[in-house]
Amino acid sequence: MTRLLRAPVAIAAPAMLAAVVAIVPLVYLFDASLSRGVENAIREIFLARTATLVLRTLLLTFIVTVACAVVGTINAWLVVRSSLPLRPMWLMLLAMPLAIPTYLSAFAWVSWIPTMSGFLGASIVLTLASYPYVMLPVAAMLRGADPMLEDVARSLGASAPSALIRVTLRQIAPAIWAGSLLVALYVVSDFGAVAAMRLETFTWVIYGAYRAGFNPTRAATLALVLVAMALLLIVLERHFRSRVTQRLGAGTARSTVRRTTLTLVAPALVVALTSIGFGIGVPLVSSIRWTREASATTDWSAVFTTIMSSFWIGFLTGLATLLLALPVGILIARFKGRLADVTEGAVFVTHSLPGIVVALSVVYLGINLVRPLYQQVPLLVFGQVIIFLPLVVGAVRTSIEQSRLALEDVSRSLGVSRMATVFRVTIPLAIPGIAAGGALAVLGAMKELPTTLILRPTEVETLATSIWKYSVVSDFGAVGPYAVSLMLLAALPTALLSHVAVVKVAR
Amino acid sequence: MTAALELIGVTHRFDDTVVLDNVSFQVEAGSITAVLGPSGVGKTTLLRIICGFETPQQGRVVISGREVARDGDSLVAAEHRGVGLVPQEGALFPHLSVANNVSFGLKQRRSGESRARTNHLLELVGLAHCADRRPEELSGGMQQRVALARALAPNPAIVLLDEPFASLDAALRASVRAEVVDALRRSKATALWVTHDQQEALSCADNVAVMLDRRVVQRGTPVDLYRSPASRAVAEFVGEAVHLRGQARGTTVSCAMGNLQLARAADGSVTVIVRPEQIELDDSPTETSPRGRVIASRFYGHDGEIDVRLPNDEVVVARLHARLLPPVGADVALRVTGQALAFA
Repeated sequence: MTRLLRAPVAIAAPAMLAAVVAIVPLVYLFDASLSRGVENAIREIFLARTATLVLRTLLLTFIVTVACAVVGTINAWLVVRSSLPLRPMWLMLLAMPLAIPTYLSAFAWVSWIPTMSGFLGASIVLTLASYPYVMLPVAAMLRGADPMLEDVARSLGASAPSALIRVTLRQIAPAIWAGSLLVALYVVSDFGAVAAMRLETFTWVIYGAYRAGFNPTRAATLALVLVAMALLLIVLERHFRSRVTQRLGAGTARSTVRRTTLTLVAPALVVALTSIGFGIGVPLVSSIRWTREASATTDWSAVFTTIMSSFWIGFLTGLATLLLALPVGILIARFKGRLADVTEGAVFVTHSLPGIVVALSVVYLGINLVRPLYQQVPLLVFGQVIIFLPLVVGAVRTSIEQSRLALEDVSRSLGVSRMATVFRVTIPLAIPGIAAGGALAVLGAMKELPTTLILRPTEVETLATSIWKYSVVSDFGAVGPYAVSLMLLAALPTALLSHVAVVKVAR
Repeated sequence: MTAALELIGVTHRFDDTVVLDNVSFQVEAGSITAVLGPSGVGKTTLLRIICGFETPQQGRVVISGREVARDGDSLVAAEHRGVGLVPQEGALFPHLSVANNVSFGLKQRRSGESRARTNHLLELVGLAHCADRRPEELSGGMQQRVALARALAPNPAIVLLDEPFASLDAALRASVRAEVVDALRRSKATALWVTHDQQEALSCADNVAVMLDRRVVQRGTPVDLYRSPASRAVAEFVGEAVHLRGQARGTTVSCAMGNLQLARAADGSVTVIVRPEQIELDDSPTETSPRGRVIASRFYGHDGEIDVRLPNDEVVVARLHARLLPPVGADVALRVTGQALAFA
């Protein structure tokens, strides 16, 4: 049904601003890439070493994605469908790798088993860090899938494992696809793990091109190729996401049938324990060990200063992202029309931009347009807002779309204006999504490495840059306190996020 | 007395599909009017047009003498129309208590006056003891009554109810319906009530507008509609109908049930319509009494129905007191009481 409502200016104006902000990096990428002519850019793309780079990145992406699809699905099944006790706690633990930056895990592995460095190490670290992106949507869809179908299959003579594969797996396939494509997107965008593992993939080479004498054309051209790959992934992801249906209607929820079959639960439990043990255990144990080894030489006041700057930058990024994401989310969810479509498109494209790409383009922006802000906190926050805007818009928008349109109609028929309705009905009902979105941005900003490395003021160190600085010279004793602090700080928003997920899934 | 609501020639399309075609009717102040029509006939669109969430391409909407929409232009925004809305399933604000739901549309919500008004309305719907509860703690019927109190609170010119009881259990529906009608009557509110349930429309409303095929085909009191439907379609939609072929001449018609009196004169070949409750067993039949064989019998408890096949193979349905139901296969004599309807 068409909605004739035009968006109030108080929503349309900031949403348009957000669209412009979101699209700025791409404009600068094209500009920088083509600055030495189209031919130069094309030659750069068709170099043999570019092809090797593409193949290596694709292979890594494929292996990690398949591994995450398997591990994430098994873990989701365990927390939703098994009769395991304390399922919410398991879900929380299994989601915890989201709190741990990939570069930290990677350094922990390398310091433990130095020969892990390279392709194998990067695959393991990225799998352990990314399977929650499959686990969470699959768990939500499993929760909504009709468990009766499996019983029907059993009554028709299928064994328990066969019913699981022939019926349930089919039902949740769209969620597995959507989650896997998200994993693929994060793998091609990841900088931390491949940098720590010294694996030459796109992001690491782009960073190198930027560092080595600042070759803007090569860096920007490679970035464009990377964006093209990411854009393809995200278009596919959206296609599958649209097929992920949630259970609709008010009817009484069927209670989920829990499986106790040992043949199913035991192997799944092994997978879950491995995920938790290696995903959280390795970085956590390493960080604590490093901290204890170097406890005598640790400069705790420096650590504290770093914690505060990480916290402030995270807080500012979270706040700024929410302020932009809220009007965008409301516009897309409630005031459909051309403006909403354009804004949605801009934010959507931005989701495909890896952190390193955003950082580079903000550098160009800083140097060419706003010189005084270059390597100042506002520009750093600006870059991080671009990175996290799509995630936060997604969270806000989903929770607005879940509340009934009729509530807003009722509000207006009671004499309350459109704008007042937004404040009195729309926003209060979307609080869980807004909180989750804010948590996502704060968490992301505290973990974010390439943007911070490139855009921070030279005198400011964050937890991320400190871990990086000491790790690249293998001074792990110095890394310890920063690593422990970052994990503790990041655990907070992660707990909030998985609480939202737990409420949705394990209810 | 001015009408609380007037629709004049309202026509509305979504893209190229006409959803409302030249709809006109009015609702007198203080009355309850039902819009009765099958699902998908454009009733909800009609309510959205009155509320101001849609603007009709043609026609006028007048609320309490003030024109609010005209030929594609919305003249008054939804929030300034003074129209209370009770949507399907109530749509209470889940983040507010019952009392805060009711006071949502009041100015100066924290004033003593607002509090008094809120209490008064909660008493009116019999839920004064639930003021501090959360909506999800209430049953479906209670939620509907809160939704009504909320709609009435700002003293609207008219309250619109959109299939308000469709989601309730059949057993609950009758009692909640009675409570809502009672609350509307006592607050002397004007109400427009949209429903697909003919029993609901006939039993609750002062006036009924029947919508079929995107337009209002008849308006009138429930008794008028039932006794003298304007068309065969209305006769079939409002109540059950028995069809017979007949030859009419003036106010009489001859058909398989004998010669019947017509409510409206007609001539030539017609379809004769009588209601099942007009057909009775004839316990002192004559030579000319219509006869037939019972081919089906349905027992409802308080009453029942039989299907009777007449000698010319036409089948009539008769509604009888339960203890009068003859067994299947019995030969019975019938008679028709009251007047029949005839449509060409």
